[in-house]
Amino acid sequence: MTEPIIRVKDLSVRFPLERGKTIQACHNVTFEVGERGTMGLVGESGSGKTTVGRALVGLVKPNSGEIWFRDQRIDNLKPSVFRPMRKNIQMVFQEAYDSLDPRQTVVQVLEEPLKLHGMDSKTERRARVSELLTQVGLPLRVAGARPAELSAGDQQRVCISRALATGPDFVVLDEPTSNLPPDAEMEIIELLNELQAELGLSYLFISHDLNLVKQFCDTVAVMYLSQIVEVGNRDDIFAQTKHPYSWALLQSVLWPDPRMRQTSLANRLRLSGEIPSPIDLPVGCYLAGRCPFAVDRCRVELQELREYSADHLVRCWRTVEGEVSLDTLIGANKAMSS
Amino acid sequence: MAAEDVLRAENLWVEYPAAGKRKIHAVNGVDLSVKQGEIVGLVGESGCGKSTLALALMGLARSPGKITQGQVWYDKRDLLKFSDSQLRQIRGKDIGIIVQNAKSAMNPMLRIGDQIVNVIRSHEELDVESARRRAIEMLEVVGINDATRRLGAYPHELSGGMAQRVLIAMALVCRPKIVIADEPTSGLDVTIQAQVLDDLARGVEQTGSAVLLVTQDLGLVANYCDRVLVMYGGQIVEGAKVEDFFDHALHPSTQGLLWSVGSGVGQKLGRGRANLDVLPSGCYLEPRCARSDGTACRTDAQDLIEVTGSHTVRCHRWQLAEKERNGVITVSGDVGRL
Repeated sequence: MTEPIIRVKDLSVRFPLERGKTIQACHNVTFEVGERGTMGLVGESGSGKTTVGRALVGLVKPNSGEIWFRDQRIDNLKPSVFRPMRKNIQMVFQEAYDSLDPRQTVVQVLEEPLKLHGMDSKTERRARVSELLTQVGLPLRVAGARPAELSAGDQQRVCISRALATGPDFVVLDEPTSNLPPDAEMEIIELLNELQAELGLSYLFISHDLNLVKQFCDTVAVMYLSQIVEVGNRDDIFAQTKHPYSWALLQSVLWPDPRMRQTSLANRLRLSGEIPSPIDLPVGCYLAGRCPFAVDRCRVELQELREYSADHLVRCWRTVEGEVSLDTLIGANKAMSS
Repeated sequence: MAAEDVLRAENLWVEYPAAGKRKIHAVNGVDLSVKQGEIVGLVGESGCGKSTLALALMGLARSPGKITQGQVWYDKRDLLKFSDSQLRQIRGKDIGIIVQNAKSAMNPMLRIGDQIVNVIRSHEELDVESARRRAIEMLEVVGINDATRRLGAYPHELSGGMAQRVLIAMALVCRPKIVIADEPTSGLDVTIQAQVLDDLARGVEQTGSAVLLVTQDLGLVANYCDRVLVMYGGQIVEGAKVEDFFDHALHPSTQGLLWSVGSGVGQKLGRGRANLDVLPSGCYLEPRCARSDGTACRTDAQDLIEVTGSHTVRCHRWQLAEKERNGVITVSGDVGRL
């Protein structure tokens, strides 16, 4: 991996509830995003993906842990020190339309971050806005339009150009295509690829669509119930999965290829039950209650990320430390259930 | 002997009034048939008329929409000539309906058990107790554990995946000959989506129902469909077995759909959308199509051509498809883009 642009170490975020209870949104999250790289952060709704993204851009204050941007630690900065840093770290939010002010025209949307970061000359700002629109493939005539007049795909282009306005090096993309029809979705992915090559950007790509992640990301982290359960290069995750949860997630993907159809529906590995509450967390491995491979030790011992190979970390002692491989476990499980 | 058609549409046209004296021609001369027990995907980009077609097939293309021509053959009778009470007898019994967002399709004030029992008892002479037993059996088939207890639940107490399963059970409980499912799993989490579709597949296997699956998700098509129909501009433009759809697509709009899943096959379409306001005399896709010859394509209507016994296409120049695929001809993806 190239030099990291972002390093996250043991990041934890808890949201307070009444009567002293808390929601654990992320717990000891550790990963790196390489310079000019794209890391996919995947997991089901509620797994904490978005919270991680928001913490990176300073929208959520972590309870503990460290976030480093290149060689500077950024999670503990005073707002006045962090604000100029923010130029370098931007975010494209989920739901393009909801993240735009319905009363602002496109040019107003794009000028706002420029003003905030001290571009005082109007001529300069207008020139930058034209440049931004061209960059994301929008015709200049949309400058006077309001969000509602644009297609969903073009709204997302506006959001992307807003994030690019301050010339960031790192962008958090939170489900940037989740509400788009498939053709618009792929156009946005192509655009993000072009922008990355052109501007040397690094991305954190938050998504639940593993088909997209497989095409777009070079490293992948899988989150389950506030923790990263597996992280590695794309091929480690897609071809050499070592965590039962990632395995189940991959099994549930409906790949757009009839040759990858599950031979028998019964063979699909199902996790039993539902995802536990992030308020009353299980003791031991968070997946133990649903994992077909869980044994007594899993239910009592909180799992740490362990090194399976140099860049491939897995939060499961059974596959990393044990003599058993996931393949044999899965084979045994199928034999038992048939 | 070939399996019999459970549903057949002939030369079906649907239009909606629009501002001024304009009309939107949503469905334009559709012929289709679904055979006993098969799962047919109905795909196409947003606005291609697939949902309108699905509604028309259930006799639900209602005011202000109007079916101007055509027949929908159901059991040797034309469904479009049915009275409301005849339609009510058929819907829910012979034609099951599954929509997206299950909770809004249910009565929020009634326990789900009562809702399913109502469906059964409005079509069959059964006492409440036997109807309840039938409801429980059906819920179990579609993967709902402790079905007996669930009968007492209200829709708002169910998770999204559960609600969708209940709706599937409701659609299948009278063993319909055909189920029309419009985006049955959009909005569900990936892991849940696969489970719900597996449950649907198991359900229809048991009831022997055919399925018309309306979707934009080619992952669903690849994993569950036997055959695919592609719509563009309110017309069926290609029909093929699922393998041929993915490997030997002939119509440019099919190739546009395949491009959008990013599997490296297919060809991007030019920008724009079909003009359903004033129907062109030639091919509806012509303004966006890189394959157009600019003459006959623009002026001459094209019928569906039977290329093989199981593969039809509506394109003057379909023979070019194989050459495009082999790279003999490259088509620019940017044609038609302003």
